[in-house]
Amino acid sequence: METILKNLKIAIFDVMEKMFFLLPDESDGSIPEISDSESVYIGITGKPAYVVSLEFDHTLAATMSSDLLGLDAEDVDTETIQKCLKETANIIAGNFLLGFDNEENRNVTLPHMQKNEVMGSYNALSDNEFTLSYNGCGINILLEAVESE
Amino acid sequence: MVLNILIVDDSEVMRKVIRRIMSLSGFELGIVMEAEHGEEALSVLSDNWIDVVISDINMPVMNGIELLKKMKETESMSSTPVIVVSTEGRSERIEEIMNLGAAGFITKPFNPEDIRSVICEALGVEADGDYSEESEDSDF
Repeated sequence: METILKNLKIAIFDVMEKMFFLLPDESDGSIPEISDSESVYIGITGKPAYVVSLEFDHTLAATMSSDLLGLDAEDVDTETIQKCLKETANIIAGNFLLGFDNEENRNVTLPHMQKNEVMGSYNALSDNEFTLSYNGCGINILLEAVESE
Repeated sequence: MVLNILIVDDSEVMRKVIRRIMSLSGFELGIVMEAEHGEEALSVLSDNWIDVVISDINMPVMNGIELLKKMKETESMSSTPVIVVSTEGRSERIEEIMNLGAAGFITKPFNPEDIRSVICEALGVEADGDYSEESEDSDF
């Protein structure tokens, strides 16, 4: 799980830097609180399968969406933010997938705004949660190794 | 150098992102057209002069691979370069797509420099915008 977790972090760092020109904040040991957030969920099929939950601070999600589309922040509505986060999750998952052995024959699921739409009902075998900070705003990431019920 | 481009992707957000990245890449853009899938792209290509097609792979109705094959089979489209943009970055997959006749492959995420570099290589143009010696010496 440690290598898989590392690969997920690398995928997130890469996408945040290349797509949004954002580098993670230097850690001072504090974890940014997320009060208002937008979440997106995506899966990696296989045995075990993985579900990645990405909870973005709303301010960060709005900034990312406006930067991505070249719009003013006030012109970005919730629907646009959700579409941008789905695309972001898809690209993160695609890069995360590259870290798995090709012979495992895994694929990326569609991204969803509801967790139960990713893989239906499942049993979590193990999970890891961590928070990244960008511009003082947090992204909570939950990686679950799962098996279908 | 003015480029007419066709962006093929079922995601409206990605079409906008590619359009924006192309505008930041330093190319002078002429007509920028969009299509949601391969079939729509073929229709656009039959009615318009397009210099470069930038296409996703996974799309409904007709995917990017089918689009690439159809273009190669159609005389009027066979020489139009197709740049494939995808998250499918495994080397075997890239090789497979290049063997089908793609002029370039870009793995998401990408920045304006990445797309400029791949398009320039596909067109035989140097990345600073000048034609390469090979192009200057050609009959075109």
